[in-house]
Amino acid sequence: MTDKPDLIYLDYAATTPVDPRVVAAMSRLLEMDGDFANPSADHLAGRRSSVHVANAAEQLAALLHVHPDRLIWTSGATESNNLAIIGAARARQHRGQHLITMPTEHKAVTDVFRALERQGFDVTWLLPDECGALDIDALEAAFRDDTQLVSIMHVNNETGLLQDIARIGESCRRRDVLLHVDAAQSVGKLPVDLGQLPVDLASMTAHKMYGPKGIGGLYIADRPGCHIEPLMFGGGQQRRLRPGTLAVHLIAGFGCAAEIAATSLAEDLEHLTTLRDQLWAGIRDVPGIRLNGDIDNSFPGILNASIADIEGESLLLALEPLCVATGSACNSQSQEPSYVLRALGRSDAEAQSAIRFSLGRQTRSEDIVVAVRRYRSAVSKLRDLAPVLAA
Amino acid sequence: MSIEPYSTRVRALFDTPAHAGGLDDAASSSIDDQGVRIQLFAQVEAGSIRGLRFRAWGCPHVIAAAEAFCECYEGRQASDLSDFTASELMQSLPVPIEKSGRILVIEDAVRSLGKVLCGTSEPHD
Amino acid sequence: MLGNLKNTRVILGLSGGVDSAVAAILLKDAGADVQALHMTNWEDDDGYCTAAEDLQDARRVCEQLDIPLHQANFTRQYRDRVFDHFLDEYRAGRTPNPDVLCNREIKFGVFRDYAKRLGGTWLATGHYARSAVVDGVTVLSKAADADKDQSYFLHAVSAEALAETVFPLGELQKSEVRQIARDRGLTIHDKKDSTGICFIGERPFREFLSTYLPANPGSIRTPDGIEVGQHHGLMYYTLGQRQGLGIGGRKDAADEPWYVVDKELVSNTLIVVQGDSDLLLSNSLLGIDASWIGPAPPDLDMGYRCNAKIRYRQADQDCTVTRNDAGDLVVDFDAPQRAVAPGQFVVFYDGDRCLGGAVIDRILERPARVTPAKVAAI
Repeated sequence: MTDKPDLIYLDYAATTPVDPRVVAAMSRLLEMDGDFANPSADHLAGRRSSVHVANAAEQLAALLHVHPDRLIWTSGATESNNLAIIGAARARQHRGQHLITMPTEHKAVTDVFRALERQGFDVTWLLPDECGALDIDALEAAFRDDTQLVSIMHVNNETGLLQDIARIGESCRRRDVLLHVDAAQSVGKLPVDLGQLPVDLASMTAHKMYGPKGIGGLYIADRPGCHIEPLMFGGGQQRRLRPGTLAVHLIAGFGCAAEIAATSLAEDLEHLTTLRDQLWAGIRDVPGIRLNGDIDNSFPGILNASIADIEGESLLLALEPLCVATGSACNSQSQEPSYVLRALGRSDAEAQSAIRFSLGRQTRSEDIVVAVRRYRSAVSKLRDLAPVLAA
Repeated sequence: MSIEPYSTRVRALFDTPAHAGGLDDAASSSIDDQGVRIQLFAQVEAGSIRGLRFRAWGCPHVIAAAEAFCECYEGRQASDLSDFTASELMQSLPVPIEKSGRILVIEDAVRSLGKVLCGTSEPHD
Repeated sequence: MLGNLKNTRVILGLSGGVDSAVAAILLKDAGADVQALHMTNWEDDDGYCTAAEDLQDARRVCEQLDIPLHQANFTRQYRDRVFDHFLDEYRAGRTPNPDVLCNREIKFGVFRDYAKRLGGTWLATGHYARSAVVDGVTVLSKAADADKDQSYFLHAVSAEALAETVFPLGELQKSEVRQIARDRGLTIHDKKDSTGICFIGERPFREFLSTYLPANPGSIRTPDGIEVGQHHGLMYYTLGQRQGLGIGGRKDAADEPWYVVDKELVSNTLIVVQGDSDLLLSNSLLGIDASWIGPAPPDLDMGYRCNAKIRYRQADQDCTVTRNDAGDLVVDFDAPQRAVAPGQFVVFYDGDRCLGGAVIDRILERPARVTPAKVAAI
């Protein structure tokens, strides 16, 4: 084996490493002499555990500017999305069965809506513009008397594009329609002030903000008409909306990660913006490159670009030791072109050649230098390999 | 799907394809099918393949397979080309079953090259 | 039938629909070495959504059943061998049937060749039909589910291809197929069956055709030459059609519907009659380009008695088939046939056995009581 240089991890949008402070907070709760007990138990040990849960809720609530009672712990953003969308659609189906979303949402949203369609709900899929943004007029036009729920993500996981949640939420409020926001890519990385934003339901996850995998959250606004039906049954925990023994160590880890995020958010953003700009400056002149999304209206931790006449799988291998994504991590096993990029109007070939670079706290300027060099050399290697087109 | 989609051999062939490129004054064949583009070049002297080069557009297995073919057939008799089958490469690299169709495109290109070399008096495509 | 496939490589055409997915289950249960092949025959932006969804569904089925999925693109071959002919037929004022051609040229042509290169001993598809080799003779028969039987579309496939093909659904009812899909937890078990011609999909037919062929509007007349309206282009109309003619509210006419009985290419005129007229009926037609699964029936020159269908899902019609000097087939029906459409296929049966078929070239004879004022357009 040739000795490969060390891996350069540029897939923070898929998941992040756990912050050492979070690891420390969690490990204390797992051991015999720590607070491992069931927080629902009516004894001293149980009450000690429940303090950690309450603390974590405070920490996450502080990050989001909401009351801790408005948060439900789940296993992650996929569960939160399912619970919010199905739960709200069912709770309001006596009023109407019309729902609105976009085809560029994460699979954990689109597949939920498809399942609801099969169950008889009527879903309007609003197409984005060529950057991925929702046209607010199209949303206004899609509302019907029986519309009950709109679900739009905050930051797109493939392109980093930001949706204008404030305006979308205002439109929904005027119509008394609930707004669910998949905020998996933004909570802990961008300011998300749910105390101010007109959002009714918001999904989030710890592992994309330097917390552990297996824990997520769902925010439910304290407003009349904003309630959901549970998907699972089995106990009185979390107001019966999501029963099951609470994973104290994961919850505490999420809380700790939220507290760290609250203090480092501004600095993180500045760091990511600098690196993203360095990366784009380094590759934007490669012939045939095309940015997917809108760099001026994006979360700076994600940069997605297609490249003309390059085969995506070979590009990914030639980019090693860079760890980058070709599409959403969930569909990287199959070679189907990203449905998100297709919805932006990219051809199959363009979508297949897309590379998503996603940066994080541990990314260094030197990593970007290597990434730029690797990308340029991979593209020129594959172009040299390709047959010269016959005239 | 295995954890590691590429064998050590596929990686090595893909990383350093010694036979990539074109050849002047050579017979050639070219196929564009099933999302794969392949071009083969052969210089033949007295029935023996003196030089063999390829150009390819496709996934890593296609590039590795094209390189493996050139490595294997350079120095052999031009008449041997008609014996080539995709299954040799499928097994030796190996290539996942789902990608067999792409390796068949290489087989088509090899057959076509064989015809150019043996079938007609004109060596140029 | 599937019993002898154990450990044998079978390449199954997998569309992403329920039928071929259940075929995969049955083959796998039979112990066959099943590999799926999903083909793309048509690419355009409008059709993208369903094509991508079908491929995704095919992937899901293969993941669930743990069978490898090959993909092949036959767009070029489909265009050359099926679609160009389809357009030619419309230009000639006929109503082609691309599904018959697609089976002969693509599924049992290039697709089959490809399956062999992938090491397939057998080809399998999710068609509702039955095939067997009996005493060295290849026999294509109707499916057990008479309502779903697709032998009409398979009649032009060669005996050689059929001899190497298995139709795992041939013995099943559609309801049983759905049941298997549900019982086995196929995620696509409730997927709707695709309707219409594959490349058109759910699009309005007129809009689709107009992007390929220039529409040439003209007049609509009665057989007596009275103009009753304007048509959008002869190609949009089929003999026997009663919807969408845009004739109505005429003072001199009753409320009965109008029917297309003829197309006059030279004058670009659509001929219509009001009411279910005898002009829609014919006793006899000329079939050309005949193909037989196996040898042609022995007494074809004397007049061969059999059944025929002039359209998919029509009940069997008693007829006599006679080969004329030109080698074409004169088909005389015992009962007059309604709306015989040139370009479509007449398919012959002996009971359940599908014998072959021919392209309907033209109507030969109207029932005697009808004045032969018009001869059907070529």
